[in-house]
Amino acid sequence: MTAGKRSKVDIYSAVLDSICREGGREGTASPTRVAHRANISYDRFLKILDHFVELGWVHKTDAGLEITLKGVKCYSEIKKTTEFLRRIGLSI
Amino acid sequence: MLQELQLSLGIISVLLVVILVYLFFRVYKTQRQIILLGLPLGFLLLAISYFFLGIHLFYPFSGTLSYALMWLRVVTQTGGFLLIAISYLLAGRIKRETKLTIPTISLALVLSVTLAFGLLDISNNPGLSIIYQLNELFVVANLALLSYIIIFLIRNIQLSRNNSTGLISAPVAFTAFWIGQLSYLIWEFIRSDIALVGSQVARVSSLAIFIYIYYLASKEALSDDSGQT
Repeated sequence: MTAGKRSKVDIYSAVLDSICREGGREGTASPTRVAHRANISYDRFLKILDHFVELGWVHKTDAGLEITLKGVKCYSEIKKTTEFLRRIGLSI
Repeated sequence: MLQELQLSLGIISVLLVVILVYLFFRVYKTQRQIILLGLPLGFLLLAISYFFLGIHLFYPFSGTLSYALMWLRVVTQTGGFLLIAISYLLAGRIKRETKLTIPTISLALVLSVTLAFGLLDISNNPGLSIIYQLNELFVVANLALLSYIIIFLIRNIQLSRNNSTGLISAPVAFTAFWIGQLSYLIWEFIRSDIALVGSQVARVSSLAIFIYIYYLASKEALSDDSGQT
């Protein structure tokens, strides 16, 4: 039912999810591992990461990447709306 | 007594649908998919329709004002269901992001309806009373649109056997809308108070189920968050 290509929101969600799973809450997420887990090229990941830093969703630390409270809130909102759309039969 | 009950149910409907409009605006703002525009705008039209229904109950019959209120109530309701059905029709077929801002579109929509109301009222055309004969046709159109959505959702459940948790609530909510419309149609023919109140109760139930679905989705998203930490 859904088209194969991921939307921008799908990709953002995958990146934020990967940052969290790779230790982003403690500030230790490795950029290469995040890009790999999110299944996107490293070049593309770097562009997205710059955008996230600009938006204040992610901080770059010496130990790796750290997701901010704003980033967590945004990720939570994406998950909430995606789940709501799935439940009302509108997974996009 | 009946009028008070109808008014109460009308006010509850407006409150619930306004909450839903806000929630659907949030969904659209986060996802930015063009197909999702039909949901906040569709529910906004339903909110306008229920608002006009409320006014219509306050002024049961006062000539052209009554006709204008009835026209807008009927057309905005069908328009609302049509927009929601279009979102379902295009789901999975179009994947395009949009930067259209909801406040701009909503303002344009509300202004258009207000302008239409003004024009209908000023025109003072006795021919407008035809809406009372056409009303049944609009209700039949609503039933057809809601049937399409319900069938779409049931097929969706059949297709997603692996991940069908929580998918039953949406067809139940739309079925409640459908029952509400059918009940209203029955009232049009037999003028039974039970059918009229039943249609409003079904509508309130439907709106409440949608809000409950959002609550469940939020709960699930939050439980995922706590699972990750």
